[in-house]
Amino acid sequence: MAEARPTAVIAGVGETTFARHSERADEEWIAEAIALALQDAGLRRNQVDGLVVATISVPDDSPHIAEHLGFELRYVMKADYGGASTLAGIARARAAIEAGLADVVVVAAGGNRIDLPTLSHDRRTPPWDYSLRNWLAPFGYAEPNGLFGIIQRRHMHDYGTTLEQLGKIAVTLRAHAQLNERALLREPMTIDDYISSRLIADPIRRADCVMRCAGGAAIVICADWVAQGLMKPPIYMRSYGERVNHQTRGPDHQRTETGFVALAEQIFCNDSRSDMDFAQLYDDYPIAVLLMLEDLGFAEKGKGGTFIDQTDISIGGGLPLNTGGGQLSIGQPSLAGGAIHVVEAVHQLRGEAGERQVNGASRGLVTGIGMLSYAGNLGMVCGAVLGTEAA
Amino acid sequence: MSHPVAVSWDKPFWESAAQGRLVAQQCRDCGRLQHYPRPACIDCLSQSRDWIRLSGRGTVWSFSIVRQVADPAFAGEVPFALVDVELEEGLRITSRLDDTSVEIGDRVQVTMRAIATGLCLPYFERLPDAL
Repeated sequence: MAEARPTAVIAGVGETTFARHSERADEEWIAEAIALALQDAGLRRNQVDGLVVATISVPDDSPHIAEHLGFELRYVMKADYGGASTLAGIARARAAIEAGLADVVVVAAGGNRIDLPTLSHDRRTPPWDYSLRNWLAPFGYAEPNGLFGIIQRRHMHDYGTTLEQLGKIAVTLRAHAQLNERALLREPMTIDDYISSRLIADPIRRADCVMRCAGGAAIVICADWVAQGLMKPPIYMRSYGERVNHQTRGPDHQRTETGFVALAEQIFCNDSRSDMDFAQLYDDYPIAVLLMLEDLGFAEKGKGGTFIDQTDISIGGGLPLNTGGGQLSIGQPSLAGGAIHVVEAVHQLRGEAGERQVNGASRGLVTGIGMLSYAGNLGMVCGAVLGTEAA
Repeated sequence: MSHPVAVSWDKPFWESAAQGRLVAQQCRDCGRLQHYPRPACIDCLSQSRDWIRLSGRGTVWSFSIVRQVADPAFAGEVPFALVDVELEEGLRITSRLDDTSVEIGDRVQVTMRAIATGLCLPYFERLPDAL
């Protein structure tokens, strides 16, 4: 007789300290993050039977990475979806557990995008895909800074979005970072500081650009029957959805609209937007956050700037945004940049966020985005509602 | 890693570019025009294709003024405009324009520029309003 299918829950989270400079390689940061997450969950490494490595910088295949870390598993994969890798990796871990392929899966990310490892045979992957290698990089395209500059300028042109509106996102996140000792950027920032910060890819300024750093983060997902004996309360994924490529074949070229427009209903199938006690939105640039708020339906298309004007996005406000400071103030430890939003959400839902705790947080939104398509929008977007109760 | 490397499905682009012509793939089965070059038609997956010469003219859809680049090979070239150009044929191409006084809606024309490896890249320049 078939047993009832388990429900997969988040049982543990771990974050290393983050560093502006490091000589440690991605795999070392990932190993540390896994150990921390297992410790948080109260699980032993021998109970782990699944591993999702979120990386686009470790060239080794996933079974080899698992072997380097001494894992014997029933399930392994690499999640190579840029900033969407961790959240999408968690969704795959959940699916694997609920299908009976594994009972305890660790999703781990981390790395070091600043100081490359010194091993000469460790060839790091070149710019990520053919369209980038042959059709963008040869122009000195300035990486995402240049492309988000194109997107932001057109959004400002079409909808009248202002630097003050975008700046409010960066400034609010910086204020949140002052309550987070792990954040690397904690000095106060004003709107004037934001607007006068150095132009990198006009209209993109220094204060728009996420700062790369070194570090790691991991999340333990397990079957509910495993979680029953653990000290910390389980956190549930109440909904999840993802979209790979949006408007790739037209009919209209889309730079300023993302696949979230097709996802919003799925993400909010069990909860309404006004139920969200916080939002941890992937923030490599303030303009990316603004596009998400529009495409997820918090604001009409083109009215994201007005929404920011009219909404208190600070802790204690109507929609507390990136309560740990987000990547914009914490730093982006390679693909663990997508993981820190999940880790912050879990801390908030467990009520262990300390000074920056949102009172009574029981449901919150987390998103991940990755890859900018040639002359298009985000190649991968995903979102989930996490909560203290099952949906 | 900043130089393009020709692959099986984009060789005709580079050969035409070397002769000063901007071309794009057109599907023989469904007529779809596409840029950048793809291994197959993005509408019907056919690999039967022609290479169509484009006018090389279009308008600036949006741009950023790049003042800092991560790739040191381009550090001496800033500032420049990274542009999305809407070509007359409806295709969107991302390229570069060295005149940083560019505005959205400006009319532009392709100009091929040879790079160190011998391949030519399609850059753009502004057309005078009168033309």
